[in-house]
Amino acid sequence: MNTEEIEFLAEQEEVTIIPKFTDSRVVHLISGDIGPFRAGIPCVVPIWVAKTLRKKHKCKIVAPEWMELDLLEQKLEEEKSSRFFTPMPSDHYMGIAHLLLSDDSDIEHADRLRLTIKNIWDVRVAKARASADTFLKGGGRHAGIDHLTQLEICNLRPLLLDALDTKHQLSVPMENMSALNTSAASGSLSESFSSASTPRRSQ
Amino acid sequence: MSNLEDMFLNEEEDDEEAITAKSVLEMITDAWVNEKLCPEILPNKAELVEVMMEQIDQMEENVLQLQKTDLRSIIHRQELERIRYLIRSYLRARLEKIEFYSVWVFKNQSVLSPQELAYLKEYLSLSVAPLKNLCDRFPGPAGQLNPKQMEIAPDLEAHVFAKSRVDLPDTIIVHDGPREEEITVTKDSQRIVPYSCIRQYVRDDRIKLI
Amino acid sequence: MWGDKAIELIKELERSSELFPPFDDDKVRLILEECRVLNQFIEDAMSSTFDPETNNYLAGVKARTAALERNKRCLLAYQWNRLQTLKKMRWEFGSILPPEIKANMSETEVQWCTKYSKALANYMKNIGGRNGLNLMLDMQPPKDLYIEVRCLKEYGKLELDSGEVFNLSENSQHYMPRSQVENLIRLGVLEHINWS
Repeated sequence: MNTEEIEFLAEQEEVTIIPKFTDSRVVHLISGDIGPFRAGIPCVVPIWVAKTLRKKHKCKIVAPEWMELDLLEQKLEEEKSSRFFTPMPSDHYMGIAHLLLSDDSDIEHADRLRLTIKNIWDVRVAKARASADTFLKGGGRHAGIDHLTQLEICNLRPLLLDALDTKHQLSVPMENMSALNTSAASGSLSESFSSASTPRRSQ
Repeated sequence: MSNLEDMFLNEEEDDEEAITAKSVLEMITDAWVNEKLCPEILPNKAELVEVMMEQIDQMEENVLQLQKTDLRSIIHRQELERIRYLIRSYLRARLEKIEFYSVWVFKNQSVLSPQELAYLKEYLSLSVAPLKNLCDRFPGPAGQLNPKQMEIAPDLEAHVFAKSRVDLPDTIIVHDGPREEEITVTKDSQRIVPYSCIRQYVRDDRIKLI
Repeated sequence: MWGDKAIELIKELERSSELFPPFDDDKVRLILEECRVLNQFIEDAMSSTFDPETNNYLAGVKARTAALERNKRCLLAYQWNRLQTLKKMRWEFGSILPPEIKANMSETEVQWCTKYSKALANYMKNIGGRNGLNLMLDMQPPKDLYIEVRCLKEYGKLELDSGEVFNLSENSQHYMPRSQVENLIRLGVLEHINWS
């Protein structure tokens, strides 16, 4: 998964909008019904719908409840003082912030919100890197990562998983290796074949 | 769909299926994420994909009835785009593994859809040809091409990020050299683990990869 | 030393700055010649009568068998990795590969490409509802339904699924459905104009 793909998932999250038009018909989307729309009356739609409507000047996007300066400042302090990852208000907090807090956002204090969310992200990512480092040095093949969000994992994945996989491969005794690699006696091709990157890593 | 009656009939069906269509879409989304992150190819969800493709075809026809500039038409078409991307990307992720691990997948072919199996067979036969050509130029017994030598197996010991959908009834066991560690897995807990020790749970959708 | 040429072949492929270097048939032939000599020794040894005093062939046979296997492995890996590159390019460029790539393909590789395209087409025809599903589209998550494009070279008329016809002349700009121009963007006919 890359950041674009995770953003695609974030776009599926719901957001409240205030329509600037009235249309009493319900839109039967495959992903669920939306509408009816009444000008000035808030309603909930997926973010991708909200973005399209807004681009056509058909609505205003309302900030999600958690997107509030005081709350986020508090979250930032909590995150700083906790050894662990604290639960985030949305699994896509960063993606949603990116989608809703563009330069011409409807949401007030977009700049400061963006900055605070970025600060939270930075604290969490630094924490994740530090724990990854400890984890790798300490050994072991598993670790709890509660409350880490998808985008944070995406940021951590390439380096950490490669390091873990390599470390594990090096720790496996040689005789086990040959048992894993079929027909090692006649020289399995797998190793030389595998110089092409495996699907998962290339994705 | 030539007469009006048919159209109404279909629309009714549409309404009835709206709830399931949504959940099918959610399942396909989950399958997509899993397939993207899993070292091996997972059991296929061809039935879900088929249902969704029918929904898409039907929706496409309904959308044709709308004015192109109608806001609803724009939103519908955008959704169709999104779903088509999802399905394409999902099937591509599978195809990539089918090709890369072809010989290994052939031995574990129960995970494939009928179409994927047909493709794998065609792919194997066409890809063996160039290697066989080379071997034919070899003197003596080395000229035999042994399928074992072509086999690349996915690394099931690779580490993954996982999140449990349920409280697992049994603990999972992580092997680390001579050591064994037991882990109790609770709903919504997240871990880094070797794929091998959660493999069965990923395959039966009790654990998802993140 | 035995196997030197084989490893050279692999290194050559890895180090090449070209997207797809020419198939090195000369080197392949040299390696096969080495294999022939190795194999001849083994065959001679097999057919000679065993006499521990005068012809203790065992070590020689073992070493040559290993060398043969290694050469074979390198040759197969060479060919296999080239096919992987071709596959990647097939997905990137579509069924018509750039001429400079084509020129470097061996006869076998040309045939492989044709068959690969056919296999893919068969598969895509059989999945996804009425009209099949073209997996070459939507390589990235959709962002906008319509995008603004600039035409980089004379292309002529393009008819969309909707029946609308666009005249793609050099430097013309159009507002078109992303899904239907993705391929032309990849081929360098159109360019996505990104205002933001």
